Amino acid sequence: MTHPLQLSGVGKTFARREPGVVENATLALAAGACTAMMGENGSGKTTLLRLACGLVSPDSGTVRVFGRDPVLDGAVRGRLAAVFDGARALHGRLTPAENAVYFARVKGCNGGAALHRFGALARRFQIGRFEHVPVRRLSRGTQQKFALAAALATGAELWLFDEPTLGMDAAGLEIFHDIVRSHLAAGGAVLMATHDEVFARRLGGIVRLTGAPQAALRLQL
Amino acid sequence: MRKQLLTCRPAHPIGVEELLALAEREVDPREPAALLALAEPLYGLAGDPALMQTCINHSLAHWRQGSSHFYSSQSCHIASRGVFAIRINLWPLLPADPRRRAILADVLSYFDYHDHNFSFITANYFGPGYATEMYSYQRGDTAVYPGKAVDLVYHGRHTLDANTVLLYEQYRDIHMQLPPARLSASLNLMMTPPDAGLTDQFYFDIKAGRVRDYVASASHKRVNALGFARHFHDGQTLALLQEILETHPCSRTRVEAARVLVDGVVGAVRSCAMSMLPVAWLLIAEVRKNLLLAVRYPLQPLCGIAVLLGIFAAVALGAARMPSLALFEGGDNRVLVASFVCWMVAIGAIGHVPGELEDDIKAGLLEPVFLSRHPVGVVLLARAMAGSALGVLFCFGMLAGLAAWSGAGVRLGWSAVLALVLLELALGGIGLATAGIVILCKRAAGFAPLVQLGLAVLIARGVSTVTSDTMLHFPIASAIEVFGRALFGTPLPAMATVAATAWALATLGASWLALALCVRQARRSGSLAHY
Repeated sequence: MTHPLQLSGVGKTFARREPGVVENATLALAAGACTAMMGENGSGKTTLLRLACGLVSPDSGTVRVFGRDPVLDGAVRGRLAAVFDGARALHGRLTPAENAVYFARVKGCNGGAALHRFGALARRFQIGRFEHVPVRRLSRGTQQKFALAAALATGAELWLFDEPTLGMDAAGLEIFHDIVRSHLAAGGAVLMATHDEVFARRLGGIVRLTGAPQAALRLQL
Repeated sequence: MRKQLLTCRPAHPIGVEELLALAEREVDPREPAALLALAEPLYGLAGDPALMQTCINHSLAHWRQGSSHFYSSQSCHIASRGVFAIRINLWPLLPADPRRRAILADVLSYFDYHDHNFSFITANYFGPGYATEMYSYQRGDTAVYPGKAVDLVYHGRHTLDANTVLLYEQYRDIHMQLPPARLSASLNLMMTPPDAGLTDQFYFDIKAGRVRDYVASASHKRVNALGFARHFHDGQTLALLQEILETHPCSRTRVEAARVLVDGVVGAVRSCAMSMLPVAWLLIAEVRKNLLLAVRYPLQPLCGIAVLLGIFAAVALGAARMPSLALFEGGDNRVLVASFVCWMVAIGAIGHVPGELEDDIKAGLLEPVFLSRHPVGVVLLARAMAGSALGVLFCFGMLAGLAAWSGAGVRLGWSAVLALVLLELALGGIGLATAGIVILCKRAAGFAPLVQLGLAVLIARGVSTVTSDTMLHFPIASAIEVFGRALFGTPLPAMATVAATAWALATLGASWLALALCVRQARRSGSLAHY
């Protein structure tokens, strides 16, 4: 069976003399599943996300997205969307709608379809009226929502989020929860790093990273 | 059509093998009409009832082996030798049931005017024989196809009765059979040249004087088989199709091969265009973003241009060692113009990508570049082209004004465009390599202006040789020299253009490799994780 995301014995060290950030991590994320990674700062959550989408190459082990290496396979990169820092994921001088089209084109997606999906997501987040306001004039939470909407508008099946709820109000949180639920029901998969345990519990399983790299990190979902 | 009437059979009729041997001996395959010389021996053979009886018994005895002389619902093969064959054709009555009647009439070509792709003579074997309406036409060397108008000559109605032998010539005689009054049979001596099975038979619309359709035959199967090549083909398939197109005797097959080839070419072009479409959209997106930012925040690009012009004036003119006064008063103004253009292209191609990457790093927008379906190099090259496109547009506007002001004879022919492309490739390549270094080491972003400064010197050197015969052996300077000469219509040896092209492509290739290595190392070292 081909999982949306599969990490096998992945290890990563950034400096030779430092301990490994991730050691022997094994993870299989099934379609329709949402998994939240929780742990202390520096426990390797973000590095795991970056490994998962091919931004960082593992020192050992393999990373497979839909059975393919995301570093080498452009088509498979098109099937994932990642938001690492919502407040810094859009061009501040462009409007959210312009950003959505631009990043869809950079990703290699259909800009028109992406704009349509983006508009629907913006309306769902109840921020449609800010679509044509330069991003830098928007609040932190609104920027976060637009960043999520722009990334998800590409129609990706695997979503990777780093602190997706940061700065988001309660209503936005609820809407985002519904959006993720809909995505999972449609067969999508979500892996996120978060400190919001309540939000994580409502969406699916939680994996706690110990932050003790000496102990082999093994995640089997 | 020719007809021979015979009244009495020979006393000693010849056998099947003798008739075939005689045919081989007496008939020239290039002269179908010569078949009629064998009318009498065929007529004699038609008096032998054992011919059919032997075939029937053989088929009944060997049904387990599937061995039968009856190769169709109508025809019984007797024997063949070389291009000649003997067969018996049955001409049954049509059944009363309308559905079965229509099917059988179609199988036997009753009521349907058709021609033949082989010649034969035919004699009555038993029964009253069929009646036939005869026409003729000239196929010649021209292609025949359904819908084509043909000149028809009527030859009357005839019956293949007990005393008649008829000759049907290939590609000439057209006829239709009418069902006989009782079950009948005819004995045929056919001449089937090697390409007979490769050419077409046609149905005709006599009233309209046109070819109506193909007779279902081997060409149907060939055309269908060629249709599969439309969906499954490789290089060898295309070469074979080309050969069929050039050599096959059947025009229908040639046309189908041409269609498949054209479809293949169109499909390949469409596929290539479709695969390039996302890259084109990427380029458009980059240009649109730059335009939006330039229109929304015009002060920044204007300040940038002012700074560039200042640097250009200080470095390029100084390095060229030419008194600025002379440039404007009787000096060689072409140097100024060429330097200006090259400088603007250099800024766009080299400075744009590392500069944007630096901005992306500061803004936290580096991930989309690496999460794109496109390779990183393609995304960055699109940025370089977008940056240069705007630079070149601006530059040519300025160029026109500068040329008018300084009186330089600027020419913008194809060679100038070629030179610009070479410049763009070489300089864009350096921009990519610089971007790779910036990705790997963020602080290297400050290094980009130094690269630009170095280029300014090279540009000045390159342009200073525009009017001389010296060829610089630096890639960028070589491209600049080609551009400079092209711009002013100075003759340039072909080798110099080739050398400049080679330099430009080599620079781009080496830079692409450097970028790939930098990106690989950045993924390993975690440069894309911490910034």
